[in-house]
Amino acid sequence: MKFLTKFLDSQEKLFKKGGKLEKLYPLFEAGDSFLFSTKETTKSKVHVRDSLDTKRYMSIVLAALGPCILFGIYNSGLQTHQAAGLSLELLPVVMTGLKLVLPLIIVSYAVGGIIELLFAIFRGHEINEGFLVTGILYPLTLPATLPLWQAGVGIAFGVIIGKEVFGGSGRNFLNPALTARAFVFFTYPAYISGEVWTKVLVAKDQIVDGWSGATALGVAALTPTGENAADRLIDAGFSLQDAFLGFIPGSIGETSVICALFGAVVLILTKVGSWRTMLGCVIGATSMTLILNLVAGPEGGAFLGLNPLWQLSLGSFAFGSVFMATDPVSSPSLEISRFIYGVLIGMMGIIIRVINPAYPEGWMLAILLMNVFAPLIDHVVMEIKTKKRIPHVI
Amino acid sequence: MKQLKIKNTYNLNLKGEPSTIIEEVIHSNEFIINPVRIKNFKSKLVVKENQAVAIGSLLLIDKKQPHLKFLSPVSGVVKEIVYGHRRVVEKVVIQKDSAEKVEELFSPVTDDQLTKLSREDVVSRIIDGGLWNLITQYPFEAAPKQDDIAPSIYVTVDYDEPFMPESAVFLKEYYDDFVFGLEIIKKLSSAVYVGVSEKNKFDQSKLNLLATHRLEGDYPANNPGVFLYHNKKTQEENASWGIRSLDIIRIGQLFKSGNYPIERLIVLAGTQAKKPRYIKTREAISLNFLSKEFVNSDPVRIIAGGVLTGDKVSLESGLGYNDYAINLIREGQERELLTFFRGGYDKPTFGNTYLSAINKKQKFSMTSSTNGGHRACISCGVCAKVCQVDSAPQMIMKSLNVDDIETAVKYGLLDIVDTGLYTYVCPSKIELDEIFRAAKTKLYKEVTA
Repeated sequence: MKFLTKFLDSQEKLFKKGGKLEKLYPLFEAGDSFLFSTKETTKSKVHVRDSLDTKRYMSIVLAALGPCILFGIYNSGLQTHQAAGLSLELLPVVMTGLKLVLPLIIVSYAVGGIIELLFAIFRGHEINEGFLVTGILYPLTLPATLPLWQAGVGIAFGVIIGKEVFGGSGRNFLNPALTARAFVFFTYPAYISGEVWTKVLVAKDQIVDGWSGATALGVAALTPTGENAADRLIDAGFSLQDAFLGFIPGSIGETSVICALFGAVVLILTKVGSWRTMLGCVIGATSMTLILNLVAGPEGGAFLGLNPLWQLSLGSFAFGSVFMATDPVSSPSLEISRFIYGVLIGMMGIIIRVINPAYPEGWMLAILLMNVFAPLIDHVVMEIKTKKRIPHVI
Repeated sequence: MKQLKIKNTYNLNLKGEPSTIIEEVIHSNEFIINPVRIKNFKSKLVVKENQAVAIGSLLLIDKKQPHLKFLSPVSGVVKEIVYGHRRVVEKVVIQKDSAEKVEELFSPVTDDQLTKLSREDVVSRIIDGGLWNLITQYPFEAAPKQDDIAPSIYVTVDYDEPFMPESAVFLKEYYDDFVFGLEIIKKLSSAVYVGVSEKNKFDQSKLNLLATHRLEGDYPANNPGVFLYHNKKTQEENASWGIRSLDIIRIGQLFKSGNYPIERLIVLAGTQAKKPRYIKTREAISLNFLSKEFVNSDPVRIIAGGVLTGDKVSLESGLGYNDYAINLIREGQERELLTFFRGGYDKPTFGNTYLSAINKKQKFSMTSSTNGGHRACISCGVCAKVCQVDSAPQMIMKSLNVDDIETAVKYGLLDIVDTGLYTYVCPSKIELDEIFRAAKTKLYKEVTA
């Protein structure tokens, strides 16, 4: 290892100011600080520093995402094989899943990474590790069927408009991964909504009988008035257990509630994710669902009458509230406002999902909308808190 | 006695704790004064090179506030005066003579005489004794003006920053001086609050006679500024004064003898110190003797003061006016491969992101490494978890970034105490305390101008 550190040290002058490769310093810094701990020492009166840095912070999020990624790969393969009536054994399913998901992840990292690097070079700042998280969160919110060029255009938009134009990680007010997804969602609606979630590998006439390709939310939303949405879901082949475990069609990483719960436990235990936001989301979504259930009345009530257990297991509620809503940069800063923010996301998400016929799912829009409101929530909370202070008059 | 529970405190659990052995004076004939290190002190020289000085002779005064004086802690000849950028006095070197001449500042004050002294008499004696600068006026943490009257004075007995002298050790030596000093301080204001730490190991029956509050919590629960925030009821109290026990002991010694107190009990600690212990020495002594105290040949950072608020000094400087501790830690670190993928059982951390969180009681050895690169604030909110004054440091920092000082003050900038903890915990390695200090200094200059 000594050899490697010496080599890096000897190369550093090339990249420093006045060196031949001065422009590429961010690249050197990224590689150097990825491999080895920093050699920088403290300059101010605070002589020692905590071991936590943003690299560690972001790697914890990546670790928490692990199960979602792995399950997402498996489930994408599984849904495809089920539709085509192919073998359901583990290995072929995973291979199919990898073929579908890996290219999306690679495109996301490559396109986003290059843009991040270009901005770092022109702006002269370090490459931010927040991108490691954005680059993986984004493909997990996409259907496995999305054309790669669309995925590439999406992440380019997300990184540039969602983050870099405001000055990079830490200065953005929208979640970049969701901004990227929103762009794809509104630009190529045919590819990211409706019934295109499962890749069909065989000719149309070879599809298994009874396979419709509709997502659970699509089925539930179409329940006629007077009927029970839960019954419709079970008739269409979705069980509550499958929805909770994640064996249903949907975006790559969103389907499994149990994997998202694992992520939640990791984020809460390490104090990287805010439990207040997550709790707020659960409370908000549950209460809103109960209100809608009341409106629907006891008989049927179609989608309005679907109980909270179903609502929380379907779609991207779990994934969105664990990984997207807790993004510290786009959430409010204060602990109390994080709770309020979570509750509002929960309520808004259910409203968009159930009441708005234009959008099958609500979390992306709910979180982006509340991202915009985050500074306002902080401001109001802070104004109330300041009233309790003994003011300084100078 | 009232109990004050201070929330959001933190114990660093560092290795290199000093043993309670006190070792006697370290002799040196070279004494060095670094006026640049005294906070808010713009020095103007009164002496010239080769001039003879006695203990207590006037060396420097403040350019704008002539009541801030700096007296010579040694008798001898001024050997060298070193000027820095824009002719600021960086260093005054005094060669000690064997005569130890002493200039009497005023006739010694006894207990009975003290009761008869008026407030003005006490103030002028502290000023003539060169110790006025030991008193801090909030919210700007600067020395008060000569005719300011303190609404209340906050005294804390214990030091909880790693590593500072422990009250059980120095009170055993100087208890009488402390009691006398406290009587002097009580002359300055009608309301004097004395806070003692829950963890104090000194004779409790003696302390109970003096203390008004028990302070519960880790660092910085025993900071007078934090104590003030939690005890204040009115707006006037914002301008309270603060002073700590070791400073009071010096004032007590000054009044008792009428001479400038030169003896100093300091802590020598840290992982790079061969024998972490207490040292009884003298103010302004050359720190050259430290070269024999290093544990090995690794590079060392010498810190005058605690590891979170101290100054980086070199072997060529002297023991400063406000120094009660010297901490030695390793400068920089061996570069480690793929740090952020490791379990990190031996990595100190405030949160739970490393395995060290499992055993919160273990002691850590820390270096002067920043442990990460500088990034923009990611609003993680960790700094708010070490904020003892119910504020949101990240929001204040953002207001200050756009020069919105009104909002910053409204959110509690002036309540924030200079503890170093905000900077310590920040994962983006932002110099939060530095930003707050700079903003307060700027505001202070505007207010006093």
